[in-house]
Amino acid sequence: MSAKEIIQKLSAVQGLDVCEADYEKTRCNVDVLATPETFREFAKVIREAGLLIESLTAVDAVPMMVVCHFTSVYEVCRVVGRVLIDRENPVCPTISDIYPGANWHERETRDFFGVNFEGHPDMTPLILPEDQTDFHPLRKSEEKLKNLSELIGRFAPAREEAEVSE
Amino acid sequence: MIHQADPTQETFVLNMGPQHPSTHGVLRVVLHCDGEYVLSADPVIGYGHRMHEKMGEIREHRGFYANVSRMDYAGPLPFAHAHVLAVEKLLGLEVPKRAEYIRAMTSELNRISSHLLWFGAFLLDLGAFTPILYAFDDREIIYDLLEDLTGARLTYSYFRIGGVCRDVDDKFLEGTKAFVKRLRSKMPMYNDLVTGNVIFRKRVENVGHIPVDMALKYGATGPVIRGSGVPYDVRKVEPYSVYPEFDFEIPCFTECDALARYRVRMAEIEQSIRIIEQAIANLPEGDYIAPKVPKVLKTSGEVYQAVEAARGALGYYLVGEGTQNPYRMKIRPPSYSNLSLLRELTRGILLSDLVAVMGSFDLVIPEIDR
Repeated sequence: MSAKEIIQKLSAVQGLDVCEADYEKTRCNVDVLATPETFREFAKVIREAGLLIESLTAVDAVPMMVVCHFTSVYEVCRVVGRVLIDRENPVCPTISDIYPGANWHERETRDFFGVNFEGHPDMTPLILPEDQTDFHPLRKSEEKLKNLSELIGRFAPAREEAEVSE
Repeated sequence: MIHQADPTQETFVLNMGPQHPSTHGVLRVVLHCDGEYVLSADPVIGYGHRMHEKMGEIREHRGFYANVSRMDYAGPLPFAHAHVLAVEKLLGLEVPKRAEYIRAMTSELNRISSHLLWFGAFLLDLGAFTPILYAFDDREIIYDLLEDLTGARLTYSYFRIGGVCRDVDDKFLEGTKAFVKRLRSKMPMYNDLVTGNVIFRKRVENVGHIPVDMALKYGATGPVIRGSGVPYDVRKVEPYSVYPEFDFEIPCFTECDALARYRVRMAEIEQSIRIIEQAIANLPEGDYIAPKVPKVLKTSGEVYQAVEAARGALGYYLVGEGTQNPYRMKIRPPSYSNLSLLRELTRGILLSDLVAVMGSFDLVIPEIDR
């Protein structure tokens, strides 16, 4: 399914902010900003479109961002999905029932960032030791922490919006 | 665990690894078995975890050269390729054509050496001792060639942001030409030795059936998805570097079993030989590294750069913050997703088939643990 068709399908979903990304710059075609409520709906549409899950991770900034990448296996069509969550209380809905491949990625994100994936069947540490439940190595210290609007192009102009959702 | 009401319902836990030879590294698989049948197989990973992503974030871009080859030690050059491409994308840096040709050529050599290692190790898992000796004989020549060029046999730090650190010389080109000629003449021998062998066929045919949908939902790539009938190869589907200039095919088999994955890799060796031959024949003159690479590499913005590593699609997700090191570096290794489908795939299969299935994945554990 081409990037245009994906954009069309995703635009039909309420609450998703879909835009075309600059492939030459970011190597992504479709950029989707979802809310925690619409994230699962987004994953379902992507799954129906037959895309392959590549990765799911987080970026520790203010606000924290869970970011996942999907790709078509037949043509150049890479979709990036983002959810902004609260850094102090990082909770995100799981998509591991829609994409079982996300299971390990979500557990790894919990290990490294402390993001709690709601509805995930098994949130025990995957890569870090089993008793390591409160140490999250990829979290930034206060002085290193940046605002998401300084990092990601799409949040730069809509700065107020990002702060509101936080 | 003895079933209280009915002792014939007895199941037991078998711990495979972390030192088992067929787990290819420090991987542990907790098996619940009913006799010879596997009820569930849970991989336990993370024994070799070194937090490469954190190292990438606290070091400058150039400081990460040494890390890339320590993840996938069997095929490190594609890992380095993805890293330098991602940083060059953030910088908007133009790379000389000659450098890209050298990168593609050495990456393909590395892919062949990785596939030869897999070939030997896979058959060793299945109980055949001889093939690994033939495979290592050929692989040794690749290591000698790359050692002359890069200075290292295993952990290359050869690719630089902007190009490569050393130009290829005639000795390397002539040696590579002679090697691919030799390997091509030996491929029929490999096939005669193994592919048609009836014991081998009985072990791998109709074993580990991965339908296309399972590969998609778990994110399995590389020979795993190509053995399920999907011609997904980043080099063709989402071309990078100079791969669009080469004439090569994507081997693809529709049987979805371990034998199909074996065949994909054997056919890929031939395609890599073709790419190397074309790269040598058309190697452009010019610089091997961009003449003006800035000393201070300040990056900003984000990029997701995918390449085809020996085991599948590899991705680097970089977020820059305007300084010399990335704010966030995520590495998406192919074996991680390939292994995650093991639990669903191996429900109810024979214990000996589990070994064949894991061998057909071509696992490299440090790449999974990172």
